[in-house]
Amino acid sequence: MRHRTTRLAHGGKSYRFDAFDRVRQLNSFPFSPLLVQLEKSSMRSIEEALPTLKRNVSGLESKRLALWKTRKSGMLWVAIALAVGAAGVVTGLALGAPLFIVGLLGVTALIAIGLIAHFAISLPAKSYRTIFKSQFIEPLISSVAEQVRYEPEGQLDMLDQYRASELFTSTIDRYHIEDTIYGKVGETDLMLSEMHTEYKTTSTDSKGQTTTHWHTIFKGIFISADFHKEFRGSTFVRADVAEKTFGVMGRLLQKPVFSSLQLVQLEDPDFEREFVVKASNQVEARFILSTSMMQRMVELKKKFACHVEFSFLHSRMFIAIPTKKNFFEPKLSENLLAPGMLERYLEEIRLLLGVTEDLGLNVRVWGKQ
Amino acid sequence: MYVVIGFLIFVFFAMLFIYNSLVSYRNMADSAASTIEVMLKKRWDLIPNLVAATKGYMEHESTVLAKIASMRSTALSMPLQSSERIESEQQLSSALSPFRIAVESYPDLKASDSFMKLQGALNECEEQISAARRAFNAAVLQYNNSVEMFPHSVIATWFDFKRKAFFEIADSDREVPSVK
Repeated sequence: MRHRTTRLAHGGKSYRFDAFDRVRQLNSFPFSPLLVQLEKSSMRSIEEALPTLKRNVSGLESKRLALWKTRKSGMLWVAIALAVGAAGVVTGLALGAPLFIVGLLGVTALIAIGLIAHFAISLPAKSYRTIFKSQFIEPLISSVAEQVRYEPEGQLDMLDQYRASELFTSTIDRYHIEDTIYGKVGETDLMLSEMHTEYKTTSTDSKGQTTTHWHTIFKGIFISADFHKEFRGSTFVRADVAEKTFGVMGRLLQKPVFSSLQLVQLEDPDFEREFVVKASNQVEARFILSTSMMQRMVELKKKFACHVEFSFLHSRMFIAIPTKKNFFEPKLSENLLAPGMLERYLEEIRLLLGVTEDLGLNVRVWGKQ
Repeated sequence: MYVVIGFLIFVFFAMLFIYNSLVSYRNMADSAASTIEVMLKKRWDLIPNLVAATKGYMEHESTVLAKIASMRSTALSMPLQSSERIESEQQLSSALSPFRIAVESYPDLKASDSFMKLQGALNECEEQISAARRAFNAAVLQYNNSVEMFPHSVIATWFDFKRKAFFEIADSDREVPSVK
């Protein structure tokens, strides 16, 4: 994830947000402008999408080569400017030239290095990243799932979804959102993004100097999806750290204190080992967490190999996947025509969009319309 | 002397705590049982609509279902875990089976919006019954564990807290067939 961050207006605390209205909007027809309704559905197979994509990639590869060439010559010019500058400064000092002249030479060399680094090294990488996402990732996603759209840069709606999930209660002071995918996968409308949310603390040392420390609340993939069953309460499925660490005694720590939520103990031992469930209603929690859903959630956790957490509210399902993997990021030095390159990004897309299939959200045999 | 008084006060409060927790577990189980009752009633209520929606298409199945539906008031008046009640609920479950797979065999039904809605409602109802049954059994397990484990077992014997039976009915946790 790039380290470009956007500060919340008014330090985050006074951010106006009505999560319920937003979620109600998402659940009602017509969907918000974000959730595009199209005719066809479901994901295509990789094999089906590959031939067309491979043709498109050739054009992009020539652009990559040009930018890579610019960057390589930029690096060469930086080296030359560095060498010339250093040689000039050393020679000037050796010949006893006035310090003003030597200093001017040094500063000129540094400015030249800075300009070259910006225009010939940093900019090509940025341009390539933009081109790569709009001309490679976007068509790739459309070819896998026609009804979804992709926005490489932030998408504020995701912050509303994040808050509506109630999975994280810390006040957000800084956040970054990128790679938003939204639309319909099969029968399920879904939104997902790479997100990084942080809160800050300040400390003052003995000299009175104040330092700000940034702490991550969540970093990874955040998903909001329409759940296929209607429900009214709230159910939280969190990683079971207490039971994993302290065994049976850990269960005592799981009991919610000063909360309207109840601890829900389920029958599936694998699921109970991985997760702890707290819900506003015991029956509703079991209605949501059917035996097959529990198995699917355990499998999903294994697939991402991290502490995946879920919440079920407002008839939607929210999934927080704190993965360190940064999805859809290009490398200017990588040949796009190299074997397996296309497949690698396709797998990333399918891994994320496949969550609806993994959790069986496309099975619409219940009363929910 | 003070030690003895202190000990007796401790024992009194411990007994009070155990007694209250047993009552709480029993109430949880009773509350879960009443949820099953509500869900089963909801399922019975859907039957007349289902019979009406499928009459023209599934003569035989509808007749069987209508016959079972006539037992509704008798069935619902019986205690939840009586063998007669369980038997009638199971009869209803088996009579409903053909309707779950009807869409494939009767394409006309597939086009019927009211049938599709009913089928959705029925599936949801079955899933809720299953959830309520699982909640009841979880509550009963917690209650039974308390009744049988020391020191709760002592208080349970004094105040006549008896083990509760788990709720067994036709398994509705099976995979629900796709209607596509």
